[in-house]
Amino acid sequence: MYCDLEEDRYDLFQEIVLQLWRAYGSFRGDAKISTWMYRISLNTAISGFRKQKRRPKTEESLLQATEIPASMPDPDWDEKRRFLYKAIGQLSEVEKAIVMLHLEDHSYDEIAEIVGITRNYVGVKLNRIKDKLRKIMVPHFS
Amino acid sequence: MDLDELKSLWQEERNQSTDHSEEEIRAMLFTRSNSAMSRIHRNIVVEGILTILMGLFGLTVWLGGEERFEFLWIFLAALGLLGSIFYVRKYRQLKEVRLSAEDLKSTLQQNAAIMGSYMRFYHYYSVLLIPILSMSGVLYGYSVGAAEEGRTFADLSMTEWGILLGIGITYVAISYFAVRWYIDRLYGRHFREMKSCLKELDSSDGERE
Repeated sequence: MYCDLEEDRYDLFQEIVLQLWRAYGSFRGDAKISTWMYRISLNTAISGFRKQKRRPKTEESLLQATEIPASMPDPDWDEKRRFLYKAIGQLSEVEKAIVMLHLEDHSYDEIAEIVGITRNYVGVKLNRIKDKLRKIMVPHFS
Repeated sequence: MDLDELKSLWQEERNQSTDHSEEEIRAMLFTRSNSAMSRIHRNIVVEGILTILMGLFGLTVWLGGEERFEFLWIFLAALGLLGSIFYVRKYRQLKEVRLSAEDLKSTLQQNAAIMGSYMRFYHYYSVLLIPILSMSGVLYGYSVGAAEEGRTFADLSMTEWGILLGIGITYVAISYFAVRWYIDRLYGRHFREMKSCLKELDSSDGERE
């Protein structure tokens, strides 16, 4: 979601694992472990990670970089999936964080706690994201 | 397609992803961090080593004992003292920047504030040190050339002083912009990205559903 290229995604994953390991000693248990992990991961992805200079970013690279699984449950599945990534790729860093937490089934309160905004603003942002995604995806899935 | 449909697609996508083995995770923990701060730390260490090498070179020239280089000790002392103070301050500032387990907004606020102050400080520090460094270079260069002709600084005409000053000022101006470019190249993009995210998160203060 935060990296277009497979190499960048691997680097980011590696960095998150490293940061989680380093920060583990400071985990005080006053939040759920999953909340703590999401915080570290998002802080790393947005605040602390610099991508290596690789090929110039293109719209296609986002789509090509995602591996296609051997078995597809639905013939439309791959197309839908490609558009899902394409649509999410057009959101801002903060919007990506919020939509990712929503897709991961977190409540508004949990999203607010991880991102550091009010519960109401989570709702406002999600509505805007829905509109944005609809505009991008409706022409393809109407 | 709405967000709920996306959610099921997302879950499906998650189920397709492969887990990493314990060996892979273990290997990742032994790799070098590629975080923005780690890279900046590495840059600072390289800058520190280069500064020490330059200092050693200057010291060697001074200890070479030739009388015409005697004035160099003033520059060396100023460079050494200011350089050390600034370097320690710069290093300590960056050490404060940590990826915390605070929420995203607090982490961004904290890191952007420290990074902004670090960049300003780095700029002032360079603006102050570059004139000292460049003037000592110009005077040193002149003294080498003048000595070959058997002249000293006392023999300099007003025109020659003017030329020396002109070279010094030009050098300072070029270096000033080069340093600005260098700082921006190292930290500028990352800083602007953090500020942009913060701006988006800050707008939540004025908006309600």
